[in-house]
Amino acid sequence: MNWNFLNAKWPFFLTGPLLALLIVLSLALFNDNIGLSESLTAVSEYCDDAVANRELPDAPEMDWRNLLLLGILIGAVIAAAAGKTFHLEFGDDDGSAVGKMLKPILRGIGGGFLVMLGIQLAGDSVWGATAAAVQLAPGGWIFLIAMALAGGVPAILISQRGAGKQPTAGTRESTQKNKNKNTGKKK
Amino acid sequence: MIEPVVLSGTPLLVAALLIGILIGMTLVKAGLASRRAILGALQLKNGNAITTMLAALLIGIVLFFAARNSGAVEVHTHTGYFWASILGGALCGVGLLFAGMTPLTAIAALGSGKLQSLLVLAGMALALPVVGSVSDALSKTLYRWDMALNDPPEPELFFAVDNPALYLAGVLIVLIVLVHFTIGDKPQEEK
Repeated sequence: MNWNFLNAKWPFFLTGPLLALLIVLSLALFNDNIGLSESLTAVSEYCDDAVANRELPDAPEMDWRNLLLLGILIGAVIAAAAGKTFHLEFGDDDGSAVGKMLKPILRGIGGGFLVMLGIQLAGDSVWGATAAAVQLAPGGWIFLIAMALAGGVPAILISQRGAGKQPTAGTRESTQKNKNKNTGKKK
Repeated sequence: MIEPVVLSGTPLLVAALLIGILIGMTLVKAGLASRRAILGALQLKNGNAITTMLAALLIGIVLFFAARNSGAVEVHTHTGYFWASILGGALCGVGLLFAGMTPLTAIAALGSGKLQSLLVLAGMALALPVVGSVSDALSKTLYRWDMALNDPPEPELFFAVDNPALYLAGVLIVLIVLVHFTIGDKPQEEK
């Protein structure tokens, strides 16, 4: 089997146990809840202060949570560079130039807003909820299941609706679609 | 019994940085640091993302049980509240539908060059003051009539009838096998 460890994506039986090991290791070494909502709040407050005062305030205290976030960023850069998948990209939409810009902005900001709103209401980030679930905390499981259902059910319905709109081969619609595609081709 | 490792000062910071690096690398290599991957998982099309999460939970439950019983780790969780967890999880799920990223995967996506993650992180930053301003109202409503959830159980034996970890592990194994034989779990390469 020719499998380049650095370039290829890793299978689930490697990444899943790795993430599990890192969760348990974090719990053991940091001796604390490993949710990220506190450090994200600290970074957000730092940005708020910077904007309000129009100057960069003193950097937030470098505690282990902030370094964990920094490490995640560095690790992602290393993995993307090693796998030659690092490339700057913005949005993945087809369509008009305006759509390409507007859709990612609305989706990203709106979606991010809702994700963090949910995290703050529940009191823990997705990573923290996963760690809580591993420790058999009921709140972690309830959060993850609610998240999977609330995101998954509409996603499947939207996906099936989109698939349903595609014209079936051999129908009048698909013939017309193909005709329109070929318009303009020189004979 | 193993004594828990107590880190502080520079060793704690170095450990945090190294573990963070490993988490970031694993997320990218698992293909989870992209909007397409998360959306694919929600649509039940990206089996690798789904089985990665399920396997992480399964192995994590077993590993944590072993580590806790050996004395190497203690339980560290917040007190959970029933309706807050459901509402928070549901909002998070709806947000995932649009953003396709959690805070962790957004940071990992940023590291792999996906600039739209900046928008997701900006949206997350905007939510924090909103929650702060309504926290008083929440304290008088949601958090007052909500019921606190029990602390996590600490069973002594894994293969015991009263150990929820045993049943959870069984369900997770069934789900992994189901995904493997229906959706498939081959790692998806980025275009």
